[in-house]
Amino acid sequence: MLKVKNLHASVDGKEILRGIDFEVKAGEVHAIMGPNGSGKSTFASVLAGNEKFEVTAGEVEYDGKNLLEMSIEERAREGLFLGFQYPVEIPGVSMANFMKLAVAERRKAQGLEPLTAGQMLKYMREKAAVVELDAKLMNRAVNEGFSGGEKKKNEIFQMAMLEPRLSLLDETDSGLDIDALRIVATGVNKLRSENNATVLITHYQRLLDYIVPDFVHVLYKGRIIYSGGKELALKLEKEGYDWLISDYKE
Amino acid sequence: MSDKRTIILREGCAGCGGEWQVAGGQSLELYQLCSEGTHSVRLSLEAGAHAKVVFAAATEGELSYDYQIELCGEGAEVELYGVFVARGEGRVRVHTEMRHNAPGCHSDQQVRGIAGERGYGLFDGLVYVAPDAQKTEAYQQSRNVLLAPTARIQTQPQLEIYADDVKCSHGATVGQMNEEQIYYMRQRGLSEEDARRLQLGGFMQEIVDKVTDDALREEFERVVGL
Repeated sequence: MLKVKNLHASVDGKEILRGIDFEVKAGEVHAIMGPNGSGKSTFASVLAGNEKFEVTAGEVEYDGKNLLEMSIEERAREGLFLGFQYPVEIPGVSMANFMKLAVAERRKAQGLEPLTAGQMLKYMREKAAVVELDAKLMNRAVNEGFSGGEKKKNEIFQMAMLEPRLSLLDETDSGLDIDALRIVATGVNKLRSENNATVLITHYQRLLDYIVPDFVHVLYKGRIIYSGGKELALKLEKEGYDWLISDYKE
Repeated sequence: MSDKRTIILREGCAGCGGEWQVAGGQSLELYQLCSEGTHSVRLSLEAGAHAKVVFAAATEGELSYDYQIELCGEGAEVELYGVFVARGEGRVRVHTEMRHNAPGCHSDQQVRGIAGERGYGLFDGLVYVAPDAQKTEAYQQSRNVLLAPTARIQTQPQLEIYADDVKCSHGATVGQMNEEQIYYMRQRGLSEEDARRLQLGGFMQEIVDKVTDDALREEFERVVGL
């Protein structure tokens, strides 16, 4: 589904990603861990097409297409979803209106008919229930006045609405109390299927107690320096990154 | 229920406006939707009176709104909300004077401006608090968005405060569209054009939503193109 080869990217002339190789197949869950400032969020942003970053070398293939040639919205419509670490507030734009437009674009790309107003309402209620999000929030402006937990649940709600092929969840667990974490993780698990894949970007092992990854990768100084199975996360939790970093020669 | 009057000044009156006095216990709602000309409104409020003014304007021509509001009696309250759009060669000037001449009065002003192409906007707002107008609360906010490098908006908030026990604040911003919001919406599949339209709509909607009557609010929405 996703093949990243030797990806380099920089911001303001400073190189952040320095040769990433990474592959995801349908049905898999990957976790990317690593110390602060190692490039985890940048990697997710570059895949989503954030124009702040400049790709200076490498290739990214997504479902057989050249991802790097696609616009931000083309990537989204083709089923690439980024759950933001800091979801932005959009004053004056209601969740319901925003979702109506987003779902219509995604369905168009899938060759599906648009939903009627009644179908849309029912669909929103159904998906809001997946993450125990109060359906009343649909009448409010996007993320405005939402608590930290509600913002993160809202990201997973939107993911449920858009039925992505590939979901990149950037620190979705940060700032969540244990109940909210459980709800968010349950939501992600319910959305897992043979046909989609999830990449979790996280600092903490605790998320991986709820969403069990098939692979764990360590990103450090812009490269994936180590990959393993789910047990790697536990080792990192216990022993930190020092054993890996001291092994790693630039 | 207190005595309530509603006045609607619509487009078509080249120089509409007028003077109104609001007596204690009375409430005046004044809505103004014009697209050209010079319009001057004077209000004076007695003790315990309330006034709410909402205006909207979208023009490629010349438009000037002038509001002179005097809070003459204790505990009077004024809300003033407005949104303007200057397109093409359009020029919009909004001038407000909020004079707190009595103690314990409350005023809130929020004016938002958008200028595109070679449009020009000016917000010139004075809040005056007289020496004996203690316990005044006066707020003023001017927020503006430029859609093109050739568009201009000037904002001149002024506070003249001669009393010492007051709560006053003012804020003014002139900026471009919020690119973080645009990115977020595009990441959900919206085209850049839709994202910009939605964001700008949201910016205006917050003011238009101050109009509580459904039919009138729809008229406001039509005027600013929501």
